[in-house]
Amino acid sequence: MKNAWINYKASDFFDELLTSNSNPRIAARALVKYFKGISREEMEQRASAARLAIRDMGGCFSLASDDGDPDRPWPFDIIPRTIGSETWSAVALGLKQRTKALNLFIDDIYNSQNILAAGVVPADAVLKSPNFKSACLGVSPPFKAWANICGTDLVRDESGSFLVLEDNLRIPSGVAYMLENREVTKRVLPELFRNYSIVPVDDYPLKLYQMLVSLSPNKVKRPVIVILTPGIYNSAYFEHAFLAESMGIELVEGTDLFVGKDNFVYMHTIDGAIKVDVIYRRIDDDYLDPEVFRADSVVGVPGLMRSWKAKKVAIANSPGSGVADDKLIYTFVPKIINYYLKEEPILPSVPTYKCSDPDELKIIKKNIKNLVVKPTDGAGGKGLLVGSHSTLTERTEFKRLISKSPRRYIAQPILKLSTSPTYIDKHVEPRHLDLRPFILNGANSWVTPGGLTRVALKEGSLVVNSSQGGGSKDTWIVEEGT
Amino acid sequence: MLAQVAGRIFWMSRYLERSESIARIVNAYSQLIMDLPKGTELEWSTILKKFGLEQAFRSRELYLTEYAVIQFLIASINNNSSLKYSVKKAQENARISRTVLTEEVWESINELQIYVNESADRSVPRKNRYLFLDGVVGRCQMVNGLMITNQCRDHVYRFSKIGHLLERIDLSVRTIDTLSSVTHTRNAQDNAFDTLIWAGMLRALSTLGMYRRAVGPMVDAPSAINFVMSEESLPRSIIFCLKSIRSAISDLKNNSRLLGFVDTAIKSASTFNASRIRSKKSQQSIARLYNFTQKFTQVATQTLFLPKKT
Repeated sequence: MKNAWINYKASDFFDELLTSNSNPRIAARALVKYFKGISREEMEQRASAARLAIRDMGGCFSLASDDGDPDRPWPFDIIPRTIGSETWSAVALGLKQRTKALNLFIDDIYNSQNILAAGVVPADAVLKSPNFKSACLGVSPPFKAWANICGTDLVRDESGSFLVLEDNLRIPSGVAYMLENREVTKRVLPELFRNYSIVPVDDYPLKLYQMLVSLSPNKVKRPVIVILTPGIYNSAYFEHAFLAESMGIELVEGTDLFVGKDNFVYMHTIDGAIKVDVIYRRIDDDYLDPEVFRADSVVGVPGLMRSWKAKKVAIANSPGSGVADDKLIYTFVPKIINYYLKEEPILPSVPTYKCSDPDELKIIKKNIKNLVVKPTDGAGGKGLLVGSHSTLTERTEFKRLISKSPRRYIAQPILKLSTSPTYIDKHVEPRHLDLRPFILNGANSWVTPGGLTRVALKEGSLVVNSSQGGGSKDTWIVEEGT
Repeated sequence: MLAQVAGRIFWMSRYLERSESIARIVNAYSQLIMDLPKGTELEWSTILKKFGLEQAFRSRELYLTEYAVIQFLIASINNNSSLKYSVKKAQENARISRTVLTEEVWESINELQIYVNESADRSVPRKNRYLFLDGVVGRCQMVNGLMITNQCRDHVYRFSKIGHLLERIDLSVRTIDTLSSVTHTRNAQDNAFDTLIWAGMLRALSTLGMYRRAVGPMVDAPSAINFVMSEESLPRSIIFCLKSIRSAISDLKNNSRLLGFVDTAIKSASTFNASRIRSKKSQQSIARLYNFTQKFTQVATQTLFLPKKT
């Protein structure tokens, strides 16, 4: 029988589903058996069923460079990625530890700044960061939880160990895709769920809701919680709507809200003004409040910071949280964990060179061909240099850039990212991927089982960002022994 | 319910109803053309008049052929009264308010847009037209059905209902006005087939069977018009729509201006007499109803949909 999987072999990298001698890993056993057992036609049928399902659900990730159609479906690969539940438990502990320490760090920075006085992190690295917002000084949100929703990017190296690549503490997106991916898989591969014990992901909106409720400054029976979106043309609008709908709360734009004379936040409704207790904002700090940040912002709410500082409203994530996900601060996170928790980090970080350190800058310039150079305040896989895939002109340009503004760049070795079998053009081929779990921090902390797996669809590519043409996969945390 | 979201639901429903109406009327018109003997056909400009689009069509310097007119009405994206455009706007409004809609409603509207995008262009020729338009009507009805069976009788339901009813009134008034002026100016020989035209109108409004049972199988202009204008039990009649709007807005705060408006319109519709349609009084009533949709929308926008500081 002709089969799309037939010539697939484990690659030189860590393969998520197969061992180095091409046998399925325990968690992937039934999955691999299933895909090896279906014909090429059947495989194609399932893939097009998935495309149809996504199209009908209206899930999309629109691109800034796109022709303005906000309904372009997101690319989805039908072969799930599996991770054993024991492996995952350890990772989840590491994520809780890391985000707890980062929250203590942010709270310290905006209050007593002990860590700077102790010299663990240089004051310049923090106070000169564009993500440090002096308007937040003196504020301490409930439970000292600043970054309530974190999307930490993890990768696996050639030994299969998980490393933290990036902490996203501002307005991380992707969780709706994690949930929709599972829905699609249930529709197109229903047989597989019968023989497998896969940890469900669909309680995320409930956990998110409970976390948001725990932040409410006004002790009322059912606090009014809203999601604040910049609007329909934002690339993550689909997710904003999805989450609001899943929690049964209002999705608002800046013009729906206003701050009253009593400093409370209200929303305009058909029945008049209604008080808002908690805002899950999906707008960048800079656009949040034109009275404090960018005056030209039309998507924000004038007076919002005033209300927040007076503890009349809770904002998740707290303004100013970005101070801890700056890529320069990333290099200090192991020390930050030691300092606040007196523990060793459970999850290692990727070794990182700072351009702001003269000795490390020399090493970077010498080895630029084997490094990835990233801007410290960048996101979305933009403005970076992958040494091995670069031209001489590009390398010269980056050397000039990093000498000119060393604070703005860091460099990391080119990682041997893990791969996973991916259905490409009627064949199964290995493609690189990463993983973005979501961590909630309020009265309690909670980690999604798995997260959003993003896959680079181009052969050999290491860039998985959806804004750069990456796709995604369903991620299964599998109870082993099933 | 957020004031701005109420406005979007209102527009979503108006655009959905408009899409369905365009599909129904183009279909009925295409059937009618085949029934009328050569030489007595209605002109293709009549259907444009009905949608108030004669001027817009002319300005594009197109020939007045069946193909050009149908293309303009169903597949043109530049004509902001076309089927394709209406569906697009309905979907856009649904997308920005999807959090208050049930998942099924959103998926159905999304599916409608995909269907129209993929099929509108090749459905202009007669052989594909019927099936396509029928598909549009079915999908719109699906959304209506999902609203009626699943939606709480809350503000979402109310504004969606108001949007639908308003659009229905608008189209029925236009239809009556256009057809009565066309049949009035035709010569006696052509008038022999006017029964078919009025039956066509009733068919477009899904009302022909109901009319036959209530009035009888012979369709004459005054009875047909009176039926559509003031039959209290007919959900597509103007009086029924007006009274339903009245009941929907009576549950709202800040509704006094709207209520006054609707009451005047109800008075015009209930005293209307189609056998004297060319009289000054009847023409005034038609003019008042003609402007009703636009004025109602204006007042609703000012008093309900625009955010106000309190």
